[in-house]
Amino acid sequence: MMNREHKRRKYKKRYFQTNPCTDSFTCKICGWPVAFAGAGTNHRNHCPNCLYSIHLDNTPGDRESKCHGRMEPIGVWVRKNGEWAIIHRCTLCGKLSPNRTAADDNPARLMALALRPFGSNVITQADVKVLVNSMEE
Amino acid sequence: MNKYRRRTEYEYQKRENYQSLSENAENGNKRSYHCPNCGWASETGDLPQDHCPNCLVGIHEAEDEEGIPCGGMLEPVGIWAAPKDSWEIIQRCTFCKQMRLSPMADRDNLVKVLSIASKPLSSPPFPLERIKELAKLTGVRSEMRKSGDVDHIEHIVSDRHGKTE
Ligand SMILES: [Zn+2]
Ligand SMILES: [Zn+2]
Ligand SMILES: [Zn+2]
Ligand SMILES: [Zn+2]
Repeated sequence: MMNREHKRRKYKKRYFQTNPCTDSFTCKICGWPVAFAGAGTNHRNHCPNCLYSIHLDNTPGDRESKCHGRMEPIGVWVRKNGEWAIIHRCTLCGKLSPNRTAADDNPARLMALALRPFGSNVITQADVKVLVNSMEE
Repeated sequence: MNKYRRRTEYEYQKRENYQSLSENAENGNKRSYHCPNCGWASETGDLPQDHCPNCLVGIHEAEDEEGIPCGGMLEPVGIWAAPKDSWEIIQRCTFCKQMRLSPMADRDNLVKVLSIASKPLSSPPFPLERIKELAKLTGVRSEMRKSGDVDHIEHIVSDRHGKTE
């Protein structure tokens, strides 16, 4: 039998914009068991282990999106107050959305995300050398 | 007032730039485009493709339901090292808060690009010297990995000093 809160969740539009999402779930991407506790926020929207998310919202918390694509973490946005936000990109529809980091997000994975540009060959050491030389002239 | 009809100063500026550009073009003078954010001037008179090559700022052209372009300023907030060694500048509109990607171009200001890419590294959200300890606390175990997507992130952590691929 459904209790009242269950009904509200199911039928009320944009329930999660005003109510915390307290569900525990298993990450669809890496299989990590995600507990509600530990995030330090009421709106856990990505896996603390692999940092992936699922495209559920059009605007944060509305659960209005029909896309349900997996959202890949592609970068970090440092906000004015110094707080980090993970930038997610939907691999199905391409939507970008920033999401606050949670207290229990894996710090190594977060740093790996921030370091990614430096591990690629787009800007090589030779490029930087040319740049330095041009500025010293 | 309908919020979709509000314009930012950038959009006005852009319109003025377009106007003066076309006027100048008629008079045979093409050196008139100035970036509304940093004042960068185009040598050739060509408008920047997607963002200003000097400050990486763009104008948000996305249209609302009424077909009115946003006109806000797209600020560069991050770099995405996309597969196949293509970098995308992650931009965020200061007016409507939407984010979008803009492909990095050859003539883009490298110092600006590197500065944006290194910002997270210079303001970490936790003490970097304790990163291993913290990772243990958050309970990450390799046996939990079931997907190749996760592996490539891990790969970058272990190989971040060497050139991979
Ligand atoms: Zn996961
Ligand atoms: Zn999507
Ligand atoms: Zn500019
Ligand atoms: Zn906008």
